Amino acid sequence: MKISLEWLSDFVDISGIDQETLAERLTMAMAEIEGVEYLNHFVDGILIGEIVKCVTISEAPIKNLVTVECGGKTFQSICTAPNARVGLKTVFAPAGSEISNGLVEEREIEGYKSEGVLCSSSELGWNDIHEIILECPDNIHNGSLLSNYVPKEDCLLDIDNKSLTHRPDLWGHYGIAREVAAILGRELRPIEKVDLCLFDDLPYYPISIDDPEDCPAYGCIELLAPRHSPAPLKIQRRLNAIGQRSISLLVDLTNYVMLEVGQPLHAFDADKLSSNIRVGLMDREQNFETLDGQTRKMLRGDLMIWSGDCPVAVAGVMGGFNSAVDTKTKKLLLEAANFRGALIRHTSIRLDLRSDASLRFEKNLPPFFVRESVGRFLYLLKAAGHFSKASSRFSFSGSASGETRQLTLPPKFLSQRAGTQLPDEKVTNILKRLGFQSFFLTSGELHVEVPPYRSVRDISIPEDIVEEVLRIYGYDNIPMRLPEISTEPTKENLSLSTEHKVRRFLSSAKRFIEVHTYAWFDSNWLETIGFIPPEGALELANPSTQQNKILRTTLIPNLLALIDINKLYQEDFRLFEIGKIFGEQWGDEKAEKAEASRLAGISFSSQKDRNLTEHFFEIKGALEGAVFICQNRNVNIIPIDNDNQPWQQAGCWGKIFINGREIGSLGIIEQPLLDKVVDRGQIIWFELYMDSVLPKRIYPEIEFTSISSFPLSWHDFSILWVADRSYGELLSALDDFEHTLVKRREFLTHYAGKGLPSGKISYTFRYWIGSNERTLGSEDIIEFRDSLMKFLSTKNLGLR
Amino acid sequence: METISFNEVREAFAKEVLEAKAIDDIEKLKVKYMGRKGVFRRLQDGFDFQLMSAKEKKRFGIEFNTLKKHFEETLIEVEAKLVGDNVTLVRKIDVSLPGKDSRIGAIHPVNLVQIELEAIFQGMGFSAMTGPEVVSEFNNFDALNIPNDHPARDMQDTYWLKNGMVLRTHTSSNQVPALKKFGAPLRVIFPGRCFRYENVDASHENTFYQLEGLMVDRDISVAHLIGVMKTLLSEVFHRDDVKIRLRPGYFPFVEPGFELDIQCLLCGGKGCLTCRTGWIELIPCGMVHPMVLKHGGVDPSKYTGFAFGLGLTRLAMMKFSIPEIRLFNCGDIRFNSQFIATV
Ligand SMILES: [Zn+2]
Repeated sequence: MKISLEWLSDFVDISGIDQETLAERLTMAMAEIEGVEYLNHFVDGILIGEIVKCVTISEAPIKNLVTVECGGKTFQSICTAPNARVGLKTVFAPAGSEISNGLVEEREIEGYKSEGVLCSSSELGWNDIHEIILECPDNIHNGSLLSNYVPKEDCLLDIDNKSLTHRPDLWGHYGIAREVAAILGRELRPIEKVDLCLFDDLPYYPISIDDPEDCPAYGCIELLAPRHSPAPLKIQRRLNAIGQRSISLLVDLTNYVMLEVGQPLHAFDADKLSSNIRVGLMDREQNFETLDGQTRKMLRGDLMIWSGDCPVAVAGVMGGFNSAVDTKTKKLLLEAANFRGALIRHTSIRLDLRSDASLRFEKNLPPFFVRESVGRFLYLLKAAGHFSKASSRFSFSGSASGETRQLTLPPKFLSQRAGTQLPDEKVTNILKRLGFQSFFLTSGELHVEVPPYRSVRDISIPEDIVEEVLRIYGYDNIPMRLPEISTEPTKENLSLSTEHKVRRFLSSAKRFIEVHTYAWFDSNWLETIGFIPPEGALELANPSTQQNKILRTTLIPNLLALIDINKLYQEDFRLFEIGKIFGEQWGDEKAEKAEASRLAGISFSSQKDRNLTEHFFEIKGALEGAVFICQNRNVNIIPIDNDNQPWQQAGCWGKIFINGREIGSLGIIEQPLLDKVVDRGQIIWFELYMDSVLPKRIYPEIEFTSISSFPLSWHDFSILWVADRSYGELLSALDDFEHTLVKRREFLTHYAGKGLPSGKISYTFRYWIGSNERTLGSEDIIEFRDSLMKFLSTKNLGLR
Repeated sequence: METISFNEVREAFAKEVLEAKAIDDIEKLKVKYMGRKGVFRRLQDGFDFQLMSAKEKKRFGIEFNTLKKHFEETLIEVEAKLVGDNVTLVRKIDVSLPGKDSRIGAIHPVNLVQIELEAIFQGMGFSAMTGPEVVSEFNNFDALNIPNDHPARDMQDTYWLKNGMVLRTHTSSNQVPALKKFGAPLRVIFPGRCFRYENVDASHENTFYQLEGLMVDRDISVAHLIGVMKTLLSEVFHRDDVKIRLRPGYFPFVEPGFELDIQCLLCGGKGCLTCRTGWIELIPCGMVHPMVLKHGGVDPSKYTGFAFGLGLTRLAMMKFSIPEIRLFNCGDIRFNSQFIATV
């Protein structure tokens, strides 16, 4: 929204303060001023004149030889504007004056003398509309100086609409003027209005409102239509400066009042109505022609203005063609109303008709504005020299327009919330400047009367008063304080600290690079790799693109997609991500949680001499380490011999278990998937359920085992194991062997090949044995070997 | 045959070595002295050993070898100096070669900042809580005093799920659950991922990280909010001259609500290309709205509090001078590998 400082000065004196400073003070106490724009207008030596002769000297493009009478003096000029006509009062810049395209000079154009320029608003520096020349009201004397009506310069403040969402009172110049007066501590001049009581003897114009929630207030008055005429120059200039087009007195004035008071107005042709108004919802689907001539489909639940049985306007959005004012209009019904913001927003967004009016209605305007705006409109009409005779009284239906809210704040409330002592008289003074009457009771309570223009939604609780007082008092004037030190220890967050522990380990010890990918899948990519999201996957109702509508149920596909984009920059890299996956299966009874935490990693290498097995075991080692630092114990990995997800290919992957619980999976990627992911290289992947590796506490309990003062001895055994069973299975078989002397078992190597019985692999283990009480003798060692042999034979295991 | 003495040779050599300025000069000296027709050869040839006693021979030998060794060492030394590195034949190992497996990976820049902030807040008595990313409409909006028809629901364009849940638009969705779970007094931060319906470009992302803070206690005031924010920002930017200011801002779940600006650290508030005005809008914050406390089961007549929302992604952009927000989720190792895991 743009605010003209020249317009603002009607209501508050802003002299002696430069515009930048004013903008800064408003930013600090009201809402952010996004920009300050300086306007320079051309006025010096420019006159108002009447066209007394207009001769067309060429058609297409049209060119007129025009004679302008400027208070006894006449001038001749060539004019191309289509609206040049005899009798038109317009603006004339004689030779010697200056306009936006430079100094005006006497010239010869196609043999005709041109003594000056008939001006468009662009030539005066108001805006960039240059096709038509200005039209001035008839009551200006020929030869008057333009400078009597418009200023030489102006300055616009640009306020971000979003920052005023909560302040329906600030959607007009007067509201801003009130803030400026309060902030600068200057007087706010009253806004001049016609007293609507003057019409109280006239008949009431019947209004009925179906649901006061949808339309808290509706006011209207029936008037004789003013004669068709341009608006006063001052008004035209102001509207132009803030980006509005000037159209006619009637249209300009309704706009002007909206931009001044903040209340949109609408004029119906009263003769096209059935002498009554009803505000109510559409009860069926129906086409409706709006005054721009377009047919719009109205739906059940759209708020409409009705007259008789006929809809005549889309409430707060746009009037109907059937009731529109035209050049033949004799009587107007001027409407000022107040609608439920959400309804207006809904309809205007659907119809794509977001106007200055609907923008204001959306904010739930104060009903107080209804009466204000009509009084102001009539005042301006009169000031423009068009006294319009009313044929109805100002008719009103809805909540009392002057309603005010009363609030009582507990003693010391303001000072406590501020955290600094605020003197009582300072508080009441600030409130008064903002239009709030207030006084302190002897009990120390503060009684506040909220002005009517802020009583709807805006100011409703004592905390709102805190904001009003402090923003004017100045947040900078509140000295900082630190809260009392809390002696309560902070609560540990196991999942966060575990996440960080893993993240540090993989990155700093195992050279993984952490990445983030989006929370949704890319369905094209899923198709490429042949992955179908499981049932229960969550779907977005409004995805950014259709291919991104399914929320990820695993981190692997998004990580695999990164290989192709990165392979050019590094021939081997390791990536990991810690993030959420989503799906109904994780929902609890309150349905708030439908997600789980995952850690996933991939390692890629396209190095020629890279050994795949070595590569795999490096990554597996990293994963084992990551789990170990959380759980303080080793994982078991069980090879899986059938296909599952596309990256889980038979014989290439396994499930990770800890303590019998499945906590994830890992594997290598083989053809045919490999080719789809990358043209050349090896890929190792893993995915871990983060929620399943959470330790009971961040610092695991470790119990010291005493160090024996007697030496240990070691004994190596090469055990034969069936080649198509896994090492993991052999381990769990060996785990059953218990012997008091065994301190540790260590895997040394495995061998498959010549010299072994067919179908067998040899695994070599080292057993460390010893005692804490004594040095072992040979009989101990023999006893140990015997029991191990016995154990192996019970398991059908032989030595190499 | 012309004879030369040891002393002459020594002096001539000392002079010539000083004049050597390039490797070539050293090579020339080597030829001149040690070559087949070099000075040493001639020195040897100049003596008639048959005329010398055994003692004289021995002395000659010692002198000759000492001098020769001196020459060789000097030449190596000077050569090494000229080569500009310490390549010598005497070292057993070149310790300057790269170590093995020394490559360090990287932590995502947002997580780097998150880890740092969590530590700072822990020092100030704040616990951390993450909370879900898929949340109920109630926790994301209604609980935060954003009713159905409130324009604020328009302000934040939301990703809705088909089942009626939403991808949280802010970490504020944790406020009421945290109040319900822990009650008052409470000091807690919520770092995490948030989502807003946006078209992605250099400065817009639909996926970003926030770190929300909430402090509820008896008599918490605006002055406390200023104090905590100032302390926090001094820690974050490692400066004790951080200047902040509050100005009105509107968020339905706080009252009063503020925009907290930090004075530009690049220009010191004079105004530059980054800040234009001397101030940078950094933290939306405010005093917790009594309705939010009520929703959380905390009595607003006994307790007050403040809440603030730090943009973690934004902070990472500032701290690491990252110009484009869309880099964060692209998974490009040329970006991600820069944030070496040093925490
Ligand atoms: Zn700056």
